Amino acid sequence: MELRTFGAVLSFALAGEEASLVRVNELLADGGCDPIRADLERLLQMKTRHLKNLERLRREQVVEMILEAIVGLESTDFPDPPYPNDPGPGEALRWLLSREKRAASFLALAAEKIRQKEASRIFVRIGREKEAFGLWEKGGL
Amino acid sequence: MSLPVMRNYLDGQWCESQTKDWGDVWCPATGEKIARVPYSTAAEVDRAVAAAAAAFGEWRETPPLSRARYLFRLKEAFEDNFEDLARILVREEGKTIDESRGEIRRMIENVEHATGVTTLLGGYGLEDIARDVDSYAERQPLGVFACIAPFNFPAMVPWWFLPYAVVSGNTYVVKPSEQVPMTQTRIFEIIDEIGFPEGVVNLVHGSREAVNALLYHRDIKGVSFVGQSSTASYIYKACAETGKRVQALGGAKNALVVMPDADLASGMPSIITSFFGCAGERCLSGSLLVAVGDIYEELKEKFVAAAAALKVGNGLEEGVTMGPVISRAHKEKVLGYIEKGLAEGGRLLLDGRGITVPGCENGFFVGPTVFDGITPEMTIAREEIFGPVVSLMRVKDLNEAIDLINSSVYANAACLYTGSGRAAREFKYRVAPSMVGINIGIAAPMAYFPFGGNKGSMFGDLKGQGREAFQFFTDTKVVIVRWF
Repeated sequence: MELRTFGAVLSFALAGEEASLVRVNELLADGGCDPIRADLERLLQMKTRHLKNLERLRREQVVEMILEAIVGLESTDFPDPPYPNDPGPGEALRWLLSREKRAASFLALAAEKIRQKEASRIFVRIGREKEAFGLWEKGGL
Repeated sequence: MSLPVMRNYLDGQWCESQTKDWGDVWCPATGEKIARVPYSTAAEVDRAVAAAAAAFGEWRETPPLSRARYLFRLKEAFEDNFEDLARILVREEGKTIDESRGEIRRMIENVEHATGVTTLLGGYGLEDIARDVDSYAERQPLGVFACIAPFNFPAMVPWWFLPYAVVSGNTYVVKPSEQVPMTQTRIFEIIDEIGFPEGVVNLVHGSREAVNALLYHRDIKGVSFVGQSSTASYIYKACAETGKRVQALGGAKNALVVMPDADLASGMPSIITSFFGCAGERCLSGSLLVAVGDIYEELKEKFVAAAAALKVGNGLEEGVTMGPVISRAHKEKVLGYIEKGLAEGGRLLLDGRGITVPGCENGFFVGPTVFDGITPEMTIAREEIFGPVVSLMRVKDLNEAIDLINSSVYANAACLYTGSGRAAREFKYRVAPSMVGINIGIAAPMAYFPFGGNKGSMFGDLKGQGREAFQFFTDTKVVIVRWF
């Protein structure tokens, strides 16, 4: 799907964050995930902040909306990796991190395309935080 | 499945209307009935006003900062319910989800601005106006005020007025448009959760009978109205007759003038937004696109291409850039104007008639429509259409463009696209409309500036929102003091 509007871009980013958060919470509730609990808790903290920032951005910057379509952003360019069937802790973390990497590259591209300074700034910042999370190697990424 | 039934909110209670006269609320995108709305009786309006009048005494004695605290809580509650409100608004009004979010934002900004009451409501004084005599002026609330709201901004428009009225110590009655009663109903559910004192804010649904009951009620001190100019004029006269304060904002026929030195690449997004945002159902929407001199052909080509690229559809779908118009009847009216434009010699460069939206075949859609060959005496160049229909015109210079704007009976907004500061100054200095955009397509004042037009676009003198709101909702009392 072509992400042509401010709302479409933000909703895509938010949906990604929400879907990952659901998995993080599920894993935290699962006793078998103790080996990655510390990483999950850090991830939870970061993603909750990102979700809040993106929601605030959608609420507060929407008046800048313009009717000229945003060009060159396709949701299909950022496919959702399927969640593994009954994953072990390592596999689950890898899946979450691959989603973080996907989100970071989406936000980097969206920051270029959206032509709204505050949105670009927030996207870049969130993308950087995801990059700096420092677990790509753990995820084999 | 039974439809939701709208209720009145009177004296802090939700009340079923006892009227026998009911209307339907329609989803403009799907053409389905989505709710039932009561056309409340004069007796129900009387109950709302009586509750507001009874609440006034204690509310006006509540310190301004304490009154503002209710607004702080309301702002937070609106933020928490932001998406919910935006989606209800799309369903009943039809605009896109982004436009709806923008409207909710503007509503909240008025709440935020009104919380500055302790500064904005303050008076002034001077010692020694004569020997041993001091004097000061202070602002006092007046009593019960009411808002009669339009369909096109169901959330925002009552909130150009309500926060300022209430924070200044008045009490309030809102009558939403009967076409879009659901958003204000949800807003009042939030108000109810916040716990305003009973009777301070009240909601009455209705139509003509409720409007007249408000206009002729002796306990209503002032009325704020937004809608068509003919109704605004009626409201103004009725309020004058009954000794009320009034601010009645009417219709518009706004022109966007594009100079040969305009930066079209940068300006086109806001030009398109002006004409087609909210399907042209804004009092600030552009209606006449006026090209000055040689830029005509380039402007025509680029504007039509951008208009044709708009995605028309159900506003709830992210990515849709233009929704339907409000009703089947209004769609017919807009189509009637297109026919009239053709009959009077206009040429269609882009024809929005007959558009169909898959999955929304019964929706009230009119596609982007652009006319060429329009002259000032034609009907579509003079009358407000309130739809996505653009008249492209050509003038030889800025003087002719200004004369064209000033010849209108309306004077709401006017915009100029130019790279020249000299032309911009000339334009803003001479045009009659009160809201002027320079390289801005929708000259919408923010909450802290006054909103309203001139000539046939505004009946009354003090405008909505901004600092003027505090003047409208208060009397200035001057005290002269001498102690022996």
